[in-house]
Amino acid sequence: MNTVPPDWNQIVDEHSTRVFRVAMRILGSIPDAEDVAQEAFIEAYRLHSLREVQCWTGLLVRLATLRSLDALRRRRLTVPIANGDPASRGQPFDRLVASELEARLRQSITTLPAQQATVFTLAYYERWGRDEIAAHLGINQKSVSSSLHKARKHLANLLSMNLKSQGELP
Amino acid sequence: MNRIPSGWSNDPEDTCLDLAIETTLSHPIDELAVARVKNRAYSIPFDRQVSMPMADTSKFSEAIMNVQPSPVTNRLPKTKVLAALAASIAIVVWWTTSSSLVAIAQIADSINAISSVRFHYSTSTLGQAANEGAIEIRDQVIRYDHGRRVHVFDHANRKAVALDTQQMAWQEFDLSQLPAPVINPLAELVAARERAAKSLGSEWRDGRKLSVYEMKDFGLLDSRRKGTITMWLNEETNLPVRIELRDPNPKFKTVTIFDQFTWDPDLPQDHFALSMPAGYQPGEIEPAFASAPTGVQLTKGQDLESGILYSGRVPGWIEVDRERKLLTAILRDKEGSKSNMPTELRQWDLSTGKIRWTKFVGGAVKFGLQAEKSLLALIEGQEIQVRDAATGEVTRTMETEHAMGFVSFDKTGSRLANAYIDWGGNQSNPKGGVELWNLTSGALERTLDIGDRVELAVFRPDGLVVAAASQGNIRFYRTDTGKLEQVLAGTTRIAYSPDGEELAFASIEQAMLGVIGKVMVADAASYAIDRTLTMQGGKGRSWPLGLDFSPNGQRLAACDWNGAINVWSLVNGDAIPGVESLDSGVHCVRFIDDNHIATGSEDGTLKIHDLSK
Repeated sequence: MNTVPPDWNQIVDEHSTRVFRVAMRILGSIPDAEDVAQEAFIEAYRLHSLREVQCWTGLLVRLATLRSLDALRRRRLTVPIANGDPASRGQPFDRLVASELEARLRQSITTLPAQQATVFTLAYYERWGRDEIAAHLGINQKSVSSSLHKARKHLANLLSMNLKSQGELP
Repeated sequence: MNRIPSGWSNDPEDTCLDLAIETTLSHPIDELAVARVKNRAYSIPFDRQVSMPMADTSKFSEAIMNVQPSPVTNRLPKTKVLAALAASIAIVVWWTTSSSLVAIAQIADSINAISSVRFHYSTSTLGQAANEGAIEIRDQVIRYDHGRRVHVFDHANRKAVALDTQQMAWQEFDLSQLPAPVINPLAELVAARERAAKSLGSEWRDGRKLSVYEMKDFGLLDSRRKGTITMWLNEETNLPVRIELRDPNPKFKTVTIFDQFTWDPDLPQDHFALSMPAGYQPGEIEPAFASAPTGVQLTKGQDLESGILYSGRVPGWIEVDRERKLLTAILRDKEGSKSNMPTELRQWDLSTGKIRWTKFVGGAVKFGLQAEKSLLALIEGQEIQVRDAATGEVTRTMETEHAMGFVSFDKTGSRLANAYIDWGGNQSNPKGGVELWNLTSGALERTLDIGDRVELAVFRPDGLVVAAASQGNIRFYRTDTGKLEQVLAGTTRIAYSPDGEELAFASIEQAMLGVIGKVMVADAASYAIDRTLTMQGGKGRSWPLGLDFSPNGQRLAACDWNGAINVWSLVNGDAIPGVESLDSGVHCVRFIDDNHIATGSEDGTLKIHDLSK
């Protein structure tokens, strides 16, 4: 098989922003997201040499999600911002809490099964509808709904447990 | 403690998740990063390692077997010669498989057969996309089309013109005025004449078989013979399809890609004309090429007058020499400008207003001056440069791990402090610190890992203390032990008086009517604050950006992002009138002598103010 997809540049043009955005939302770091995006494109390119890719969008967003989660798991967990940390001074209180929640959500997503993580990412970070997710991932709508419900419940539990353990929730 | 903000719903589990999601979505997507992702992804088909085995090794092993060094053909050119480009292109190939040297003069011959060429270029510096456009070459004339700006360089006549296609402006200049050489990628290969090139085998792209060659230890641009050229050659035509120049110089870490070659296209005659096109008017497009500064020029023999020494790009930092005769400034593009001109370091003779020299200095934003030894220091990329202040020439370099810092000298000129910001992998929470370099040995003596991003580091004149200024805190460290001596609440600007007894630092105060900029004057040894001065006259939110003591130590000048320029007498604390605030942010202020200050502002003016009027 020819190792060059017929319209590789077009594929890159069409999907770069989305692939980077998915990685960026999950990782929260531009350099890491760039690396993961490149990893996703390379993997997609290699997969294409093995078999024809039916849906580049689905393949790339799934790769971007899963490789981002891999990168997150490899990464040393972010140290929560503590009171008195120089970086926290001068920030409004609400913003500080929101930043903490964001960091903890990032950690919590790594505990989701692959399909739940992908569905959650596409639903909340990419704002895709249920049908769109189902079409691109090749699963039925019921599975999307189920995965999304489980993912949301799991993440909400983890976040609240985290806060409760630190006395931040009653 | 319950740290959940007020106003949330009663279901904290769901609201926590929703807030976390909304916060995640609130970060804007960096378009430059997307551009980098695209550029990297485009090249995947060209990356041999990508086509290596992944899961199905049987398929890939077959692919590897197909990658073989290609024989060099002996087909000779049939058409006329492109003398300026190809006469000297001769690349020697080192065949790793046969251990023999083969000259691929066919490439030069093939290019000789070409009369014109058009191709695309893109560059990235320090990982950031920097520039892209089209290049056309015919005979000895090169046309660079950067979009809004177009340059035509005629090497035979040593002339060049610049065009601003939006402003319809035209400017002619001599090639000898260029502070940096014109890049001709094919001419760069000339330097490869005696170099060895290695065949990397063949690749298929768009149905064409390409030979790939690599040359290392190659002197290109400013790479000091450490650069690498990779060239993809169409085996049918012996002409390049893609050329990558990788410059490892820590100043730049530049990657330049030339591709989309069209050989022998029918290029319009007027693309190479040096005459002014119809509808255009003469104008100053490239200030660096102008023979004299614009604006109100100080004439020879004239005393310093209040006036504009320069207008055009933004003077972001100013220093004045010990004799108070030479002014040096960093000039950069205005915020939001798309010109992509490199930052310049320029020096003027204050007695005449004439430019003494101009140097392009990449992305440097500030620089340090050692007045006693007439030295300048700045950072380009990851290279700390010490320059002769009289000529602007680099006299010494040191490599640091931390790019884009600010360098300052101690009073003896034996040490340098590099205030750096380390973005690492976390753009939202960068770290920083100060490196202390010994200029005698060229060694890094000590790194003060501070945590906050450090934007300015200044030695106390006795050299025993270095002050590191970051957002919110100014930390004072002993230079001999690295021990933290004091922390003061302030912002990113600090200055010591010439005798070293006083220090001034910027601060801000949140007030009912907004933010008030303050300048604190303190005892440099005890850190006791002697007086607090309030910025006056600016419009909008105050953020002091520049501080300087007069040479006699009796006056203090400060400037502000809100346009305010204030000068106080330190004898009685009174404000000295006569300096009007500006409409745009003022980045820097420097005393020329006790009665004159120079300011650099975002509107692109370098102005001299007479305090005696």
